[in-house]
Amino acid sequence: MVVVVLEMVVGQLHGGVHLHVQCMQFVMMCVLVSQSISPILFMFIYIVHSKTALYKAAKPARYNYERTNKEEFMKLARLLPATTVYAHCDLPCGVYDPAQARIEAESVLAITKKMADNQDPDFRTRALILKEQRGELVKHHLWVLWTDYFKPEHLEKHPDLHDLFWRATKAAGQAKHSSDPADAQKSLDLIAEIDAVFKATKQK
Amino acid sequence: MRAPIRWPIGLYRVAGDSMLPTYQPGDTLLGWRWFSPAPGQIVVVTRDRLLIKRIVKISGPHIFIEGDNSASSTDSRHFGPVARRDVIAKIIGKL
Repeated sequence: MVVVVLEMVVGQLHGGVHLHVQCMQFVMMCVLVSQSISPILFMFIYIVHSKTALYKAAKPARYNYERTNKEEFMKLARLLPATTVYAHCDLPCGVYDPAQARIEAESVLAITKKMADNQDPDFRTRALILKEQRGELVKHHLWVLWTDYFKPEHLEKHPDLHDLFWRATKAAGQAKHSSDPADAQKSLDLIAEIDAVFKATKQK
Repeated sequence: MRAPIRWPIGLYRVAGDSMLPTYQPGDTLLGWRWFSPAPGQIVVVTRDRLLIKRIVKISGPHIFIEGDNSASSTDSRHFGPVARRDVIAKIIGKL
């Protein structure tokens, strides 16, 4: 608090520091306190900021102080710890199927085969980009199944489920890294294993 | 979730897209905790976690909230109205 008041007084004495900017600083200090952040972090952030502000206040002719300080302030404010507020859609649609991962993995396999048959650099570049994108989708769809669909009761019946997903996502990553169709095929085989478990969970 | 502290000012960061186009995911917002709810205000509501929505209607003790991006929002249309005590801050600006 003392640092803030001193900084406001010095800023006013030097001129060039607009009062409303200082009011913003004061508001931000209140935010820091209300967010209950560690005093050490608070002092660090504030001292760094006030040093910069004082330096610039001493040279008002060389800076558009108001603009620079505002920008700095906003940058600083965005770095502060903030409470997350959720603006989400929380309705799970409940539709899950390993087919999504399988189709993307088939694309990865097909692309690796086409790349092997074609030496045109433009074609290979385009194919590589597509393979990266499809490979990422394979991992995404596997993660959704793993984290959203499968439940503890499934794990009881299929104790190797975590290991299976571990190997499948690793294989999907390997298929992204390499251009070897064998790696893409391995990813597909593991997705087929997941599909078998998935179908078993659907049986009454 | 941190226990609510009734300081007047809070800093919030948006996650999710139900408040598009008003607020983007990642926006840092300034909230004011000493206020009276009124329709049109964007507020922070505590449920199982903190939500950010807009007040669309107040009917006695019931406050109806909705996301600006209604196609992608879970709000009073799904879980009903919220109580006054659960509306903990109104958004007064974006940083």
